[in-house]
Amino acid sequence: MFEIKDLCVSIEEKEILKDFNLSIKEGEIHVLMGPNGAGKSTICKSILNHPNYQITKGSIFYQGKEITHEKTATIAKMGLYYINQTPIEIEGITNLEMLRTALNEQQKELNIFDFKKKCQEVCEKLNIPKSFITRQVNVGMSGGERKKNELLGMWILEPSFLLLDEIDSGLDIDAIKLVGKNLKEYHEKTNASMLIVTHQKNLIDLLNPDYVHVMEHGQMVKTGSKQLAEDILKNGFYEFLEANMISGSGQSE
Amino acid sequence: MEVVKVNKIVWNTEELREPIDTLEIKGKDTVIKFFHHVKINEIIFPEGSFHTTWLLEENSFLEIHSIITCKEIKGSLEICSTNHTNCNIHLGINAVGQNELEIQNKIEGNENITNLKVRVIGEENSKTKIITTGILLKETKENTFLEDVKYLNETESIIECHPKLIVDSNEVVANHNVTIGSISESDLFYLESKGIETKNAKNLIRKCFLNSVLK
Repeated sequence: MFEIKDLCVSIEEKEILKDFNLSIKEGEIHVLMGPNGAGKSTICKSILNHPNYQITKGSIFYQGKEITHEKTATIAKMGLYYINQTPIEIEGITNLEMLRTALNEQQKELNIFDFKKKCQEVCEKLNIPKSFITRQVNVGMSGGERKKNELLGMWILEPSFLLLDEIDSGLDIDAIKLVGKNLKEYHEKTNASMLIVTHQKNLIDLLNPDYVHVMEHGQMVKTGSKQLAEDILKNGFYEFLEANMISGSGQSE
Repeated sequence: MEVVKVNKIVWNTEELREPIDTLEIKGKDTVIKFFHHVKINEIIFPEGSFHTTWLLEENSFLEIHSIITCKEIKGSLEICSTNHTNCNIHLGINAVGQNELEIQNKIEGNENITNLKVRVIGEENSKTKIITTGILLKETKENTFLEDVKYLNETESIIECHPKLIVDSNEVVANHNVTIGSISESDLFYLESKGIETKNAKNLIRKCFLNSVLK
């Protein structure tokens, strides 16, 4: 369903990812871990063909189609949904305008009444006021509110693949539970695949991933089950990398 | 609400006393007097050259929140504030073709407040000059003049903004600024990552930039 083959990515001629490989089947949940600077966020942005990240080698496939150099919007319209660790504010544009435009582009147009009704149901699910629908995108929102706002978009746009880059950052324990519960419910409802960058035990426990991957220096160094995440969270990256004799252990780029 | 079309010669004046929906200026040289509280949702300027003078009578309150399309205009809007007036003019200007618009506020009396907010975008190949001037005359007191002009320089267009402030009085609060912005890459990537094509994402940003003048 989703595959990355021998991907090399550079930023301003500095190579960040080196021959990175990953394969995710429909409905699978994969967690990506690694020390700071390992290249986890680079993976997420490269999948969406962010203009600052140059793919110098390799390919990315989604649903049998190569998307390596596709336009970001085209990739998103195919069903990929990305949540950044710090979603940006966009002044002047409301959630309503943005999400309706996105729905129209995906030819999933809803009339305004059905759209508002759906938004209200999602707001209840996320425990946020209905006024979020008419608020400007992430403007004046706390870290936790922004993540919930992004989940509002997820429920409305109904993607088939979630790309979540540290969705837990800046969240308190209750918010992590709520986000985790929502992601789990969404997964159960849609069988969406997920690639989640996280080091948050509560979130990993809630989502019960099929695979856990560890990255270091732009490469995948280990793949395992949920137990792998538990070992790393217990002992830290340094010990894990030392034990596995991976060069440059624990050093950030 | 009603639509008022103003098309009078200079020695005759239109008087506005109540909120109206649209103020359409049709004449080349017009004078409008404002009394009480006048709220306007839409302004329409004529094509070509024009001059319009707006007199804010004592204790009047003029409030405008309008998006206007300027197409081949060469006009000037002169606003004269007398005493105890409150003038809030928020204009979103979508410029098409070649345009020159001057907005001048002359404060002649005391205790007036003017808040001028202008947002400008230019369509492709347009050339627009916007001059905003605040004049605070000698011996006037306790007046406030605030001017905030921003333009989004994104298409192949030329926009010149000239903010001017002529202050002859010592008892005044005055501020003016012009900001030039372009569409940020991160905003664009964010919208694209939601599945909105670049062209539509830019249009959405442009539309919302102008809409910021509306309440």
